[in-house]
Amino acid sequence: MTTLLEEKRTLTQTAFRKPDYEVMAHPEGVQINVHLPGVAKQDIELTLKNNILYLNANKSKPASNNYRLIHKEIPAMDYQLSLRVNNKLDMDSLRAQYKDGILEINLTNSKERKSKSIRVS
Amino acid sequence: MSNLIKSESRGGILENLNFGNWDPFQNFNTLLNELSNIQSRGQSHALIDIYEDDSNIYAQLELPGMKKENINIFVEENTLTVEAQEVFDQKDKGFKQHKERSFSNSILLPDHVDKDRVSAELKDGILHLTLPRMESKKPRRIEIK
Repeated sequence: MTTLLEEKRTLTQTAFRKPDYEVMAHPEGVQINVHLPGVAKQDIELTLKNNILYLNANKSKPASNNYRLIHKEIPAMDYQLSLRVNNKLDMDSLRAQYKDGILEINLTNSKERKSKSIRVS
Repeated sequence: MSNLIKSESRGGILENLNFGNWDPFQNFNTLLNELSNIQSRGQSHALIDIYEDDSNIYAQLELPGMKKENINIFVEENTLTVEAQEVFDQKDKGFKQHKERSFSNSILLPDHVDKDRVSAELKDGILHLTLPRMESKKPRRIEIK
């Protein structure tokens, strides 16, 4: 019984919400907008490893436990997202800014790709 | 959006089905009209949580990316409505992007909410509404003599 309860607790703790996101390609690179409502800037963790962009964001918890729930639609889970990044993008160019619940991630095309010229023989 | 489909569009199509004189084009046209109506309304339902304590009722709505000036909150009789609309035009970075989003939520208010003291705060894409209980309707502790 204890084991089952522990397993259930572990499963609950490892459940995440996949955030909505938009990817826009433009001549300079790509812009990714990730919707993270209810997250404070300092609770966002963004990692780029082996061409995969990992995002973890913890939702702000209510300050008091004295509230009684009347109606619930917003999942209480933290956010998690991983995106494979095209290797034609410059990984060092990664820039991110968070405002009004939207994380804007920008990546530019790699310089090698930009300046590549083909000589006609 | 899902609410609209349930209450209006799906019912409308089913009501128009008449298998005796079945006209597939009529039904197809009805479907197109229904879809067009949904698209023109184009309003989504924002996810909402509602809590309460002894002093207030609290509502939290997810409105990521919405600016304060694009959100309208109004109370009409016993209904509080939140409408948010964003028209987004981006022309930098060598590309043009046009995006429109709108949300609409209505909450039926209980009688014990003081409608004149409803307050709202927008933080990190969440709209926090505080709906105070009327002083006379707050739970009070009765001392046993």
